[in-house]
Formats: sequence, C-alpha cells, structure tokens
Amino acid sequence: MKTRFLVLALFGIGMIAAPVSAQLLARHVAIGDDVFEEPDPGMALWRRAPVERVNLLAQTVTTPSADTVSTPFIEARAIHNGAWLAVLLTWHDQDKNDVLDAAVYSDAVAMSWPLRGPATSPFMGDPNMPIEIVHWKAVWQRDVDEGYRDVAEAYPNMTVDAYHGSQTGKPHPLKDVMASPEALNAMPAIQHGNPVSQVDRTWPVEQLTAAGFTGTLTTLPEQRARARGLHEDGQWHVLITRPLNTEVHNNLPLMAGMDTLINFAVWEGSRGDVGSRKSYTMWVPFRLEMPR
Amino acid sequence: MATVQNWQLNREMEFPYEDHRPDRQIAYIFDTNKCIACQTCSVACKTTWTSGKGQEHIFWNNVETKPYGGYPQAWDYRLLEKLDGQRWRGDQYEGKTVFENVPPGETVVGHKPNGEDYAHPNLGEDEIAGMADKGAFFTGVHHMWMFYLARICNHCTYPACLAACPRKAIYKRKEDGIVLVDQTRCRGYQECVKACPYKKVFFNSVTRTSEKCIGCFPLVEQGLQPRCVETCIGKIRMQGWLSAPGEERADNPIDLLVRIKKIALPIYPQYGTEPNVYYIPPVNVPRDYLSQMFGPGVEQAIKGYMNASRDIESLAAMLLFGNSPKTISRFAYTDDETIGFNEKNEEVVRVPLTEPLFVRPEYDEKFKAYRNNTA
Repeated sequence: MKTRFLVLALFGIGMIAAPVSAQLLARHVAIGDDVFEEPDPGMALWRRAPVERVNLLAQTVTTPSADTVSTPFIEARAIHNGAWLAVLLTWHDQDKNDVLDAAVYSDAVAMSWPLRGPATSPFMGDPNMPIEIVHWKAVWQRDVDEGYRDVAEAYPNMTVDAYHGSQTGKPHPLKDVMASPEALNAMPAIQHGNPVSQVDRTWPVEQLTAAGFTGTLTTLPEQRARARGLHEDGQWHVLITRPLNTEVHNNLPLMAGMDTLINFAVWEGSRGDVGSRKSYTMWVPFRLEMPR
Repeated sequence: MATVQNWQLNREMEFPYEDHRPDRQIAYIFDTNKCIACQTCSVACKTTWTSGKGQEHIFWNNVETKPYGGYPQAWDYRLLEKLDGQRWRGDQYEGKTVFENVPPGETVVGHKPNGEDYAHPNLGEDEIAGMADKGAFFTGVHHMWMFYLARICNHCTYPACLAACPRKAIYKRKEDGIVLVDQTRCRGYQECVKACPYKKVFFNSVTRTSEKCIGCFPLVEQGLQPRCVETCIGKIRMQGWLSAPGEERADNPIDLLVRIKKIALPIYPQYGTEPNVYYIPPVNVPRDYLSQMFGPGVEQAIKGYMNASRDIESLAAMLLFGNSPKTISRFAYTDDETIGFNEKNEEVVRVPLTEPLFVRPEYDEKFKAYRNNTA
C-alpha cells in the first residue's frame, strides 16, 4: 500500500517535469470590474479567451480514491483586466446534484495554484509547499439561488412539534430556530462557524489552503473569491473570479505577465464523489497576458 | 498501517494509527435480559442531544428488536456479508476485521446506508424469528425468540470512524476514551458514516456535518453516568471504566463482569474495533445467532449469569446497576449489601443484596381499611 502510493507520487512528480500539451493563458481584456464582481458564466465575453482542454485523472494517490474519472476532460478559459481574474470552467455532467443528505453528494469544482513555486506537488501541495484553492460547490450555488435548504423543503410531509427553545410554530423556519441559544446548541457546527455549515452564504465559493493531503485543508479566514455556476445541456459552466492582488495571506499574488501553474478537480455528486474521491488534473502552465 | 493488540480477538491486527490506549476507557454494560424496549433511553438521549434541526431521524441511542429489526435497516447484516470469513479458533479470531482485506481505494470495509434506511427505526419491532403455529402454546421451552438490543456508540478503542476520516476530524479523548467528531473540522464527507460498523455516526443535512454520541461527556466529567444509563427504568445499564488489558481489578464492577467473570461480551467483536459497550446475552436465544453477535464466549457468559445469584461477587456488581446517577469506579460488599464508590472514593450508593420483604397486616389500623388483593 505504501509502496503503491510512493510510486504514484513519483509518477505524479514526473508528470510535472514532463512537457504538458495543455497551457492556460489568461487573456487581458480592458473591461470594467463589474463583470468580475457579479460573475455570470453565460456572458459571451468569457468566450473571447482561448479554451484549454485539460485531461482529468481519477484520484488514486491516497484513500479513499476514485477508480475512474467522472468525465474525460475539463475546459478552462481565463480573462483578466489587470485588477481581477476570471476563470470559466466547463465540464460534462449529465445530472445536476446540488443537495446534501445521507449518501447524497454535491457536484463541485476547484482550481488551485502553488504558493511557493513550481516544485509543489499537484496533490494538495506538500508540507512547507502550500497551495491556494478556490472551490465551488453546486450545493452552495443552490443556497445562494434558492435559500439554505431547510428540513421542511427536503421532507415536506414531515412534521416536528418542537425544537428546543424555538419560539415559533410549525414549520419552524431555520432562521427562527437559530435565534434561540438552546436551539443553536443542538447545531454545534452552525453555532461554531464551520465553513461548510454557513447558512447565510453570499457566494457559492470558498478559498482554502492545503499543504499535503493528510488533512491539512483549511478554509481561509478571509474570502475574496466570487463565483456563479449554471447547469445547462448536460454541462456545468462555472465562472470563478478573484481580485489579482488580494493582499490576503495564502492568496497567490497574481499579476499581468506572470507565469505560474494551475490545476483543477471535479466532483460528480451522483457517483458519490466527495473529498478525495474526485477527478483531477496535473499542473498546467498558467500565464497572465500582459496588456497589449 | 500500524499493528495493534486487540484483546477481544486475542490477536494483533492492522489499524491506521499506533496503539495509544487512553488513560481511562469509558465502558458500559447492558443486560439484554432486562430490557423491555420501553425506549426511555432513546427519548432521554433525543431530548438531551438530538432535538435539533436535521437530527429528526437521528438516534444516537436506539433499541431494536433482533432478528428482524435494525436501525439503520440491516446495519449489521450488510457488513457481515462483506466481511471475509469470520472464523474463530477457540477464543482467537482467525477471520478478517474491517481494517484488513480492504478493497482497493478504501480505508475501511464499510457500507453506506441511504436516507430511507433511517426512516423506519421500529421496523421489525417485536417480530419473532419464525412462525408460531395456530394453537401453539408454551411448553417450558422457547421455540420462538426475539430480543431487544439497545445500542449506542461503542466508543471503540480502534474506531473505524476515526480511521476513515481523511481530515482527522474525529478524535478519541486521552482522558476517557470518548470518541468525538470535531464540529469545526468536519467537512461532511460521510466517510465515517460509511466506515462505522455499528452505524452510529450520522450525517446531519442541516449542519452538513457528521454527528455522533458524545458519551454524555459533560456529565461523565462531573462523575455522573450518561443520560441513557441513568434514565433506564429497567436498570439494565451501567457506565464505568474498563481497565487496560492486564490491569483489571476485581473491585471494579466493569472489569469484574467483562474481564474476570466474562458475563458481559462485546458486540460483533469480529469487526475489530474493540467496542466498549458490553452485553449480557439474552439467555433464551439460540446460541449460533448469539455467537455470531457476541463471539465465542456466549456459553460461558450465560452460565455465569444464570449462576449469579449464587456468586455473591457477580451479584454485588450487578445490583449496582441503575441505583445511582454517579459513576461507580469501585465496589465492595458485605453479606447483606453492595456498596459503590466514586473515583474520589466517596460512597455513592448502598444496595441490599436481598430485596427486603415487608409483610403488611390484612387490616390497617391507621386508615381503618382492609388490604385487598385486587391487583
């Protein structure tokens, strides 16, 4: 088991050094910040950037793993205006999975870049060689579009007489229940601000850092990224935007003319993808074009 | 992968982390022969801990009827089917645990229940194992059987949930061996839900994290027994501390009944997690069903239990069950009484070994009334 993943890790590092045919160029376009601040993946503007098709691989470096890819490739396009970066990601996914429940998972996509240079492992970084991750989930998109999914929406025929400390009657809306400290006590993840338990989400995306896949993944305390995802014709179209220079710790300072690496990961909810059960890409050279 | 010693299997086994037994291990004994499935324990736990949003279907404590019940449905049978040959040679386990022969890409052998499996906790309740013929009557031997199995998180020594979490969001406390899900670290992957052989970690779709029995640690820290133990009307339960293998003491009621008299047995020890809730097996159930569930020690356990009234030591330990809200670390007995002491060596309860007999006169002078036997 140990030998197998050492071999795969070495294989992965070999892949960074080998010439890769995919390269992502973030085209510079002189446009206002508003299209980045209110991302809309449907805008024709985003298709001005050259599309790069990147092959996905099943995650098999560590357990739990995925035995096959959910889809063969992901398409990436990037545009920046000197102040903001936008990356449009498109991939095939027949069904839209945007709710969470017992054995029910959400579609998701993420992109990452190394914080300390090209020798970083593409597999969630290494100790002392962290990466920055920007992660979008379909369940968060649904939260933003339709509101946080409460019990009454998930199970409309269910009835509950009371929750501890809840002052309102049936169906006990979540916001009302949360107003009571006793009721909140029974929802410790929400009470203690767990980032995946955020009831009042503005954006369906979070920025994280990781330094190796042994559980180092950490949500960053400050969030600057924005995103919007749309499911259409058996494909997801997710536009992720972020200011180039956020001045936030563990955010990679980006600038025109810069060369770095980027990679992507895709989760297909209907086949149980979550956490390390995912499809991902190796590092792809990523350049931000100078203004022409 | 590390190698650890599992005393219930009498062998070493694989586990992802090194052997680090806690300073003390929380442990429970449940006497199945006394359980009437009144569900007071379930209600107590639910009222205390799982009355929040998203927890409506979650029972950290449940009582199911065997053989046909199970919450979630078929939780045990679905895993037994996957476990590669569960052979015992005497008291040594020769089969595989959930940490061994793991399919590629997985950390632990497990299965995922879906939402529907949690939706009918009482399915199979009171169903007997077979058909009763028309006109059949009891002849002194039970032809049909069923029994109530009360279950909580076993706060295992080698928790599969902890092993499966890729984020190390589950930890086992050093001071008491209680296993907890860190609600700020969990990202809701549900690997623990799949891995727990007893299906005692649950996904909460409102908090979007996994949640589990916390061993009533706020009470245990104060020297009080957990809610499910204290409220049990039938006094079938006791919570205490199980000593590390080789350090058992005859004056600790848990050590005595589990390790010395071996009247209380672990549930499905073949899974390999070293669960710390020990059961006194139901005496009227066929032995092959019981040995699949409680291992090879069933015959000895039942014999010891049936003989307990003549064994003052066992009797003294068992009569402490349900008689004090305080956790008993040590006990002593005289010809007439059993006495429980807490960890500070303060006496917390004194119970007569023989239930006192009161004979009331037929005519009561005080109330000027006759006593009638109109029960």
